[in-house]
Amino acid sequence: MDIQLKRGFIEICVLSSMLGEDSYGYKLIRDVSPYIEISESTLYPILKRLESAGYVSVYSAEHNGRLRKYYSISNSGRGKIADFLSEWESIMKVYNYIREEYNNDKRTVSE
Amino acid sequence: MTKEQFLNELGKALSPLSHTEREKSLAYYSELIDDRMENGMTEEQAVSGLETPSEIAAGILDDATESASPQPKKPVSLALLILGAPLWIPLLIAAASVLFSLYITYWSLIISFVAVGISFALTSVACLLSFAVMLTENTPHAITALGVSLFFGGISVLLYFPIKSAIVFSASFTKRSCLYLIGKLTGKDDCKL
Repeated sequence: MDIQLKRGFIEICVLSSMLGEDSYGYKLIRDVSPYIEISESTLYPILKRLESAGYVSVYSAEHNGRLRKYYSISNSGRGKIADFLSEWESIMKVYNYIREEYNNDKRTVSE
Repeated sequence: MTKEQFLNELGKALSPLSHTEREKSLAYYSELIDDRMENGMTEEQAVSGLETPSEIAAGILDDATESASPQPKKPVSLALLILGAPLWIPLLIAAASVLFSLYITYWSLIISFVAVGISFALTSVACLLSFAVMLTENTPHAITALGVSLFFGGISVLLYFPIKSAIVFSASFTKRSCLYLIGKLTGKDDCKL
């Protein structure tokens, strides 16, 4: 996948995995990995960017005798996801058109 | 490598960073290693599965410098501009003065043509009046006066239209030049003239 496209995707993916409940580093990587390649060092600058942009808020809570940083999605973060989804609805329309035309073409070629 | 060794190496590699940023990075990876161990990995596995401390540090430092300095302008050209100021500022002023005096000269020419036109028109009117006055007393002189009046009147009518076009053109040219200059100085908000 194109690297700039991938970056944007990873950010939205990370944001989305916080929708159900607040999350933390290790859990974020585990939740997002099935869908897009992400490493610990990729996640770190993304979390920094999301925080400085105000899409997430951060807090620390105790877990098994140590402090864990939790990330919580903000309303502007939700807005960013909504924007992404509506932008991609139009992209999907185009994709479906192309896919259908392509499939039709393959059928007539094989006849 | 143990977790402690990993974090020590990472901390050293991150020494260019501020204390807060370094601590944040170390806390992030410390937490990550702990979580990986909690989920079944040994300490060795938890550490080796990550990138090396130097690779991680390189990434973090790259990211830090990217956001810190957004394209500084070449300091050399700015220095030259300032050093050369005693030269180009007076030259600029001189050039502007020359242009300005040319501009004023041009308008003075127009004004003098207008003056000529007006005086011709007034002469024409005056001769017309004297024609009217002398008509009964001294007819040949009166007719001469009428002729002169028509002559000057004709010239002033001929002058009127070109002078008017010249004034209209100069005025709009002046206006457009001013708008263009103002637009250039304030950052080209609307280039439409």
